[in-house]
Amino acid sequence: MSLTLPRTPSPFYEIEAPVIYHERTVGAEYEIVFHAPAIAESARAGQFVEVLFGEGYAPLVRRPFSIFRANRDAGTCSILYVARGSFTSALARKRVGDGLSVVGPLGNRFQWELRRGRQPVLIAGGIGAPPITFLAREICEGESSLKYRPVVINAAKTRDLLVGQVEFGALEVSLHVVTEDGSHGRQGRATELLREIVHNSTAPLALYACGPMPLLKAISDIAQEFALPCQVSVETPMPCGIGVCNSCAIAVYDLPAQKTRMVRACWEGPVFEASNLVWEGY
Amino acid sequence: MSLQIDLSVHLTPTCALPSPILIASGGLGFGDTLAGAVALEGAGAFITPTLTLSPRQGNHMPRTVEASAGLIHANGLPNPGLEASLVTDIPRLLSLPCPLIVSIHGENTEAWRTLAERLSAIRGVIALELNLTPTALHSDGFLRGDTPNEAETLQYIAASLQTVRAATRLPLIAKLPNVGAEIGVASRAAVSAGADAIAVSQAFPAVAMRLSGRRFRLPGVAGGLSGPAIKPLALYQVWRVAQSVSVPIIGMGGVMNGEDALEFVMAGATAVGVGIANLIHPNTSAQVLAEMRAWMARNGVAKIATLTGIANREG
Ligand SMILES: Cc1cc2nc3c(=O)[nH]c(=O)nc-3n(C[C@H](O)[C@H](O)[C@H](O)COP(=O)(O)O)c2cc1C
Repeated sequence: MSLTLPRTPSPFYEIEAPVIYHERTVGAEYEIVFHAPAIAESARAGQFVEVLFGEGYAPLVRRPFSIFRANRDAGTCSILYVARGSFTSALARKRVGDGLSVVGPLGNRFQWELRRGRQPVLIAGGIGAPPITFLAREICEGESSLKYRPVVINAAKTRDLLVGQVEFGALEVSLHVVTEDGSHGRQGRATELLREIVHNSTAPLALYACGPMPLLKAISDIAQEFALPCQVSVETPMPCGIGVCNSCAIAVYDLPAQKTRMVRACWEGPVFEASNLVWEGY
Repeated sequence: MSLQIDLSVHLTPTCALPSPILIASGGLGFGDTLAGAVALEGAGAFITPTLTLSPRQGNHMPRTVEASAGLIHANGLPNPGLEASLVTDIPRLLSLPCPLIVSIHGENTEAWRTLAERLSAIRGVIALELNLTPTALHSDGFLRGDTPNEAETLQYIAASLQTVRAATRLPLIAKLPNVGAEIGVASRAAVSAGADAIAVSQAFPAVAMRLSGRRFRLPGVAGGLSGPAIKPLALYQVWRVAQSVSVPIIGMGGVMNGEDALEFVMAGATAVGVGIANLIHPNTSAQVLAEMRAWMARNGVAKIATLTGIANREG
C-alpha cells in the first residue's frame, strides 16, 4: 500500500502570467485570474501554484496558493485569497495587465474518483476553502448523473474569516455554513456539524477537507471512528513548492516498515489519506 | 563577427567543468522533481544536498523564515543516508546532463572515511564537497552552549580533510564553516590538509523574531541565512580566501543573475554556486549562463577563466 496518493505526472512550469481579471468577491476576499495556459491545461482540484511579484527581492520567495479555478479553453487559472498579510495586501494592488510570476501546477490532487458511489462531504476551514470549491465544482461537473449531491461544510471562527461563500452558494451542493461565534450561519464547530451529518446519513460517505491542522486532525478522528475514507489537503508553509527546500516535511506512517517517515507536503502531498498521516503533535 | 565564448573552467588541473555555474548543495535538492521542468544542460556541476552516513529526518517545523532579501533555514540536513542514496538518488543524479559532485558530512571520523570510500567507487562522481560545519551546528539548537574556538575549528577542518584525503583520490572541495574561525585562516588549514578547492559561503548564522509572541521564530532559534542579503559577505569571503590560498574557489551567496555571478568571478571565484535562486526560479542556472555569455559578448571577453580574480590583479 502506498503511503501517499499518486501524483499527476505532469511537469511544472514557470510562467510570467498577465492578470486578466481581479475583483473583490466579499470583504477582503479577492479572485485574481491570470493567463497561464500550460498550467490551466492540467490543473486539478487540490493542486497549487507558487506566486511571486515585486522588486528588489521583496519578497524573496514565493507563496503557495491553491488553484481555485482553471479554464482550459481560455488558458486561465485563478486563485482566491484574503488580503490580510503583507504579501496578500500587495497582491490586492495588482491590476489587470500586470504580471505575476507563477510556478505550477504543483502537488497532487483530491482523488475523488476512487470514492465514486459514496456521497462526498467536503469540509472547508477558513482559508482552506479555495481547493474545496474547486473540488466541489470538479465533482459536480465530472459526474454526468450524480447519485448524491455533495455536502459542503464551510466553517470559520467568525463571519469575516469565511472564504468562498459566493462560489459555494452558486454550486449544486447542499451547503452548511458554521461559525464558532454564530456571526454567520449556524453557531458551532465544523466537527459538531460533521458528526450530525454522519449520524443522520443513510448514504455511505467520503470526506474531503482542507483547513488548519487541528481541524483536519479532528476530522480525521471522526473518519476513523466511523470508518469513513477521508482525504485532507494540509496547509504548511511551502517556500519552494517544487520538492527542493524540505521546509514542508510532514510525517506519514510507513506501516510495512513499522515506523514513520518524513515526506514533502508540497510534492508527495498536499493531499493525503488522513489515515496515513501522523496526527500526534497537532 | 561573433565572439567564440569559452565558459569552461578547471576545478583541478585534471578536473574540467563545462561552465562555472554550479547548482549549490541543496539548491535543487536530490533532483527527483526536475524532470521536464528544469534544464541543466549547461551547468558546470550539480552538487547534492549534504549526505551523511546514517539517515537524518531533519529538524522540527517550522524550518524556514523569510528575512530581508534572504531566507533563514534550519533543515537539519535531512537526507536518506549513504546506503539508500547510493540506490536511489545517486543513479538518478548521474543521469543528469551535467557532472555530479557529492556533498558529504561525517558525523565522526569513521563516517567521513566510509562516505569517501564508498563514493569514490562510483563512476561519474567527479569530486566530493566536504560540508565542514561541525555536526552539532546542523541540528536544532544550532550554536546553543559552547561553540568551538578557533583552534578547535581549524583542528576539525584539518582532521576531516586528512581522513577523507587518505580514503579517496577524488578532488576535494572544502566548504568552510561560517563559525569558529576567520575564513582566510580556515582556508589555509583546509589547503594544508589536502583540499583541492575552497567553497564559500555557507549560509550565515541568523535569527528571526516573532514580535507578537515575544519569541524566536525557529524552534532551534538560529538557522542559516542565504540569498541576496549575504552577497556582500560572501564576496568578502571570496576575496579573503583568494588572498590566503592559491587553489580554485567556488564562490556563492545570493547569486540571482549573470552579473552577480561575474562579480564572484572577478573577486576570485573560479566557479560560482547558485543555491536559493533555484528554488525561486527553477531554471536560474540556465538564465545566469545566458546572461554571462551576453555580458562577455558585449564586453569582448572570450574566456571566462581570464576574468577569475581579475579584481585582485589590478590596481
Ligand atoms: C534550502 C537550502 C538547503 C541547503 N542545503 C545545504 C546542504 O545540504 N549542504 C550545504 O553545504 N549547504 C546547503 N545550503 C547552503 C547553500 O549551498 C549555499 O552555501 C548558501 O545557501 C548560499 O548560497 P545562496 O545564497 O545562493 O543560497 C542550503 C541552502 C538552502 C537555501
